[in-house]
Amino acid sequence: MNKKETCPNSKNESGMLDEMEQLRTALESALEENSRLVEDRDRLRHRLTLLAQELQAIQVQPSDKLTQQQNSAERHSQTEEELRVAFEELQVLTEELEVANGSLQLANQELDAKVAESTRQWQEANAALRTTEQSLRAITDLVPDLLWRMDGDGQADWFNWRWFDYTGHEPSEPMAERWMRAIHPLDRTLCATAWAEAVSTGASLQEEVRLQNVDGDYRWTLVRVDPMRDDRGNIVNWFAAGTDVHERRTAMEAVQQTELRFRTLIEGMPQLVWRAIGAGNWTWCSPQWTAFTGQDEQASLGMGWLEMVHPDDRAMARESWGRADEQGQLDFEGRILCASEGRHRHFRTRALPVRRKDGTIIEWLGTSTDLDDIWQLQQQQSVLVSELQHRTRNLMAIVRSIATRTLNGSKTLEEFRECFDDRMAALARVQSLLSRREGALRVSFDALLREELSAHVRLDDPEQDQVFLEGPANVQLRSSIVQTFALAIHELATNAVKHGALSRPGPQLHVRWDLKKSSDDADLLCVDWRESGVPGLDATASAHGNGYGRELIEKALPYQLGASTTYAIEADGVHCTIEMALPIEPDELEAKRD
Amino acid sequence: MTDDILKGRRILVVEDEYLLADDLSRMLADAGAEVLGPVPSVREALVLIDAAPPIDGAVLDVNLRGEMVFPVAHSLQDRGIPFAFATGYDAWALPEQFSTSPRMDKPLKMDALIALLEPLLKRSNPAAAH
Repeated sequence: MNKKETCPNSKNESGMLDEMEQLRTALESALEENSRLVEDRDRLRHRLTLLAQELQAIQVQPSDKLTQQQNSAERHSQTEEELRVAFEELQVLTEELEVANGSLQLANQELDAKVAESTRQWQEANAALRTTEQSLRAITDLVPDLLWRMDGDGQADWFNWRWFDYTGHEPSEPMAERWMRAIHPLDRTLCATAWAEAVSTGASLQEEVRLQNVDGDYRWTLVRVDPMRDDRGNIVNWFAAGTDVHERRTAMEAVQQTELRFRTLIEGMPQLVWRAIGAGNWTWCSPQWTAFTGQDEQASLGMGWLEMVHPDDRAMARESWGRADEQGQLDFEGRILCASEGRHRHFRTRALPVRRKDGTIIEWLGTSTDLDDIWQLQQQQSVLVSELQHRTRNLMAIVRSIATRTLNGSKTLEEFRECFDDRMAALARVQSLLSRREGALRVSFDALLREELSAHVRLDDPEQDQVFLEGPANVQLRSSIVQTFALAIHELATNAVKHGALSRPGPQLHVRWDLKKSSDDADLLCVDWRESGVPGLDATASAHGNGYGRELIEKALPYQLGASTTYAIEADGVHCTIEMALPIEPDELEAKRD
Repeated sequence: MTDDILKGRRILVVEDEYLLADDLSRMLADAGAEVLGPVPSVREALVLIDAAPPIDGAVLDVNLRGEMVFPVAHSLQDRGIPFAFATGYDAWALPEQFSTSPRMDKPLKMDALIALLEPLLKRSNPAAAH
């Protein structure tokens, strides 16, 4: 545009100059002619003057001599003739001069008019040029872009005002190379490379770079550089334009960041995430789905995912999807195949719809959460709760039974109270023993024995010389037999305290136990309880007070534990033996059911 | 008299806890019943069922030292012998097949036991008459 306008202008300009030059030459030759005419005129005037003087001299001479007079008259008329001719000549010359002067004046006027016209045209052209340049300048300062011009070395010689406004540079500063400092240091290599390529190929350049503004902030700017060529196609210089794309760029980066965060979040969460349209037609699934089920994304699409749901749960899954639109959500529990375990695990699958503004559903975003561990724990918990109930009720029945039996064996309420308290204490001790065991550890016989005897004797007292315990430690008992066994031991111990070896200083109690093999190779625990040195033993009194204890040993242990027992009141004390089989399988899940 | 309903009836008692088995046996005996058992395990119960018919009814503890009593219940069901569960478990803890079977909570009470057994025994003739 610039080029097109300047060309006709310069043509006008040179044409006008030519015309003026011609006018000047014409004027000069006219002036020359004029001065020649003036010279001629002056010469004639001079001659006229001479002739007039000569004539006058002839007239004033004396007339005494006739000849003289006659001669003089001849000369006079001759001179007069010459004068008349010269005068006529002068007349002609004067006329010519007048004509020449007239044409000269005309030429002068013409020249003046042409000069005036040229000047006017010149001024107009200048004004037009000025207007164009002002327009261009106004435009370059009006556009929001930064504009500048460079030579092939990147040296800049012109910037628009936006540049100075943006960078804070002063127009007076020498900017040739310094302008490049506005480019972010991290973007300079990129710029240099792109610039080198543009210069070598002559092609346009386009890059997004950060340019520092007057506040010191870098803003993303799209820089385009185009070469400007002369008529022969040579690159004269380069024009650069910088468009601020900071908002778009940062917004785009923010979106990318958000997307990245979103994807990282989704791929990092333990849930299986998916998208669906319609009634459960998957359109996408997270990598976790593939990792968990072994089904690739392509296969999961549409209703493909249903293949990974347990066959018994598929109908329910379809039904849930059928209700999802109406309910505005999807929520069901169903088993999903776990590839690594080769079994289905319990999952809770939920989804919510993504809606348009008018409420119609665009798609569903869903998660499937592994509940299997919780589910297993819930199952265990329900088993434990029911077990706890079972045990509590059983225990209450036993308490009632013990109460009845204690009542039957008591002469007075006081006796009942004392005896019942003891038995409840024994029952409480064994409960605490059972609950104290850690994990699957069983209660050992020696622990049970010590617990019961400790209620009556200080076993850890090195001075005590009445109770002697001999046998292997850690003989483990099934917890199902511990309670009955403990009650039996309690009765033996109580009886010893009341009537037997522990009723006074002196007598002794020896408890020996050992493990033996039965005929069918089962482990047998053999216990020998022997009291000795008990004086004045009243068999009848003892038997009376020990009815319940004997019943436990002679009836309950055989009935409940399959034990072989003997109970005898010998001359110096009670002698009791118990033989019972120990559990063969140590891993029996007693905690669940016993 | 409700007591009469048990008189002369042969009632199987399956209960692993000696004291409870003994209590229950006494209760039934006091009511005039003839107690079969008590036995503490499934194996012994099945042996008894095979060996000692006829049986008029049974009271079954559910959990016999970790072993569930249901094989015994099946065996009785097959023979058309009425039974009731005496248990610490709630109904929901029983298998679906037996979820409607008569059951009573421990500790057992005599009148509740008789009330439970009475309608069962009314439907069948006394075993002695077989």
